[in-house]
Amino acid sequence: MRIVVENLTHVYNPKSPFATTALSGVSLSIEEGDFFGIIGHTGSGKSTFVQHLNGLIRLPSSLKRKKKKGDNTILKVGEFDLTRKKTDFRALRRKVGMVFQYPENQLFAETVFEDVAFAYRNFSEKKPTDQELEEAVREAITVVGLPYESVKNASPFDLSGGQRRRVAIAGVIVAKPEILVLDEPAAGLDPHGKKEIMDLLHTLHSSWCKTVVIVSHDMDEVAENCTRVAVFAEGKVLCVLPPKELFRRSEELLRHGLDLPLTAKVCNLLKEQGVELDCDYTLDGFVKAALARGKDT
Amino acid sequence: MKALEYKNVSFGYRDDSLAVKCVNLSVEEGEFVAVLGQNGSGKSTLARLSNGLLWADEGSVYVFDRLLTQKNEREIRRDVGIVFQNPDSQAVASIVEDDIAFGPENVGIPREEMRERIDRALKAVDMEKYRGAMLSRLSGGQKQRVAVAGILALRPRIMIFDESTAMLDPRGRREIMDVILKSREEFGVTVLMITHFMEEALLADRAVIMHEGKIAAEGKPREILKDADELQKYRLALPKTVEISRKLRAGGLNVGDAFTAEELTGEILRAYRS
Repeated sequence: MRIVVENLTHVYNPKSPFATTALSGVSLSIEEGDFFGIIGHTGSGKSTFVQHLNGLIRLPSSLKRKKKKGDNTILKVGEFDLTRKKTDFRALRRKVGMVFQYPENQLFAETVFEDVAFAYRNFSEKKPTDQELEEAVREAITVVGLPYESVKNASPFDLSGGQRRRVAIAGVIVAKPEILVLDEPAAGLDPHGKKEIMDLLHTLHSSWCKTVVIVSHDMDEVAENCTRVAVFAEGKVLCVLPPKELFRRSEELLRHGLDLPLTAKVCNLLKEQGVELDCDYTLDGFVKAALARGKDT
Repeated sequence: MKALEYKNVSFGYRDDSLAVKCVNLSVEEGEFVAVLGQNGSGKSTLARLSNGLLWADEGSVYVFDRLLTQKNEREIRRDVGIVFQNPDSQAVASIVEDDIAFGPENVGIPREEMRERIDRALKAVDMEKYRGAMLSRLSGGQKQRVAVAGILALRPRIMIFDESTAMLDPRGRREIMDVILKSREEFGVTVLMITHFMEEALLADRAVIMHEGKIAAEGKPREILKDADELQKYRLALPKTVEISRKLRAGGLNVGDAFTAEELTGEILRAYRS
């Protein structure tokens, strides 16, 4: 499923003294198979944007019977046209899974099984049989890397931070979404937990979900994992580029209050000293380029 | 003088397991100590034991040489301020300014001085524009800044930050870090910082690693953060700069361990030139 967005604008509390424009005229497309990154300073509209993707924020036109004249907003996720009222938003949410910041705070059930099962029941068109339910939950818990038999009856609150986050992700992917959207998936975890979550996203990307979209502040994470990256600033999209090209434009990023990955920082410092490295800004890519350059000199 | 001292402190949330096991740790006045460790290793529990938010099952806690008891906890709490990870759980008022004023008001700071303290605190965290804003309308990162401003205005002699920058972007994190370092210079504040960010730990005078409720290692951050095997054991990771230095060395480029981008650049240039 391809995501196509054109001219998307969103105003919080419209027609009130608190009116704030979070998005203004955003256009971009996310292709099937992308591991898509969204970066931007706090308040740049990233979260508002991703909440549109599964209809958590509805366009005004999708709440009325008729479109306003001159409304040229396009918001399509595969076959779903999110600008229209008759779109089946429930079916859309099955296809687009959303994992919020600190999703483990939303766990509520007494056991891991119940938490994931709740999500599955919620997403199923008809009431699943016990066997269907057990199979789906087992599969989801296993795929996020938890030992099913030993955690299914455990309380989510007895697990570690990283494990709890996995349970929360299991609760989203249990519906087998084609697109998985995650807001800061690795925030607040210890370095190992971070790596495990990113590895998990790659596993999911190659098996369960065709498209992964992450919102991230961590430029190292973005450089290391994403195929393409959209840069948000003040409610607009500045550019959509693969990391290799994006982080070459360091001045522009810094101007918009964004950071650079460590590899790009070192490349810039080396450049100031007259040493130019051609690398893709992943850690291994940097090491390779630096070693190759060392052999030349 | 010792600012904070834990003597044989143990604590368990339930009977069957201890979150903190027989910890001995002392922090000198004016010292900056970083506490590292995986999620669930007991770091936050240790912080909460410092001013009576939790009470040790065994052992004792001293703040500026006074034994922490239920009789003097209010007095001690003036000396030990904690900023938590989740700003929603520590806001007390609905307006930014009122929230920051709450702490100083409670300890009876005169009105004029309070004004000045609030102004400075808001300025330090770059939130002057939001003085009269509703807290509920701020983003997570902005709320976190307000929480930090609250502790700055209170000026306790010991500030404990429990992953207080986790929700900020890298730039916001650096800004808060600068504010902390500045208050240290200006007021001689003692800082205990719980963090997952190795770059933050590098700025400390001393790093302490907690693992399964115990202090597993402590020392100069640069010593602690270059032992890959030890870090692995505690589910921590080498700083990225050190990881790259090691990979370059394994590939035959003669670079030493680097802890910052600048050091790494220097090492690479030196290796090229030799």
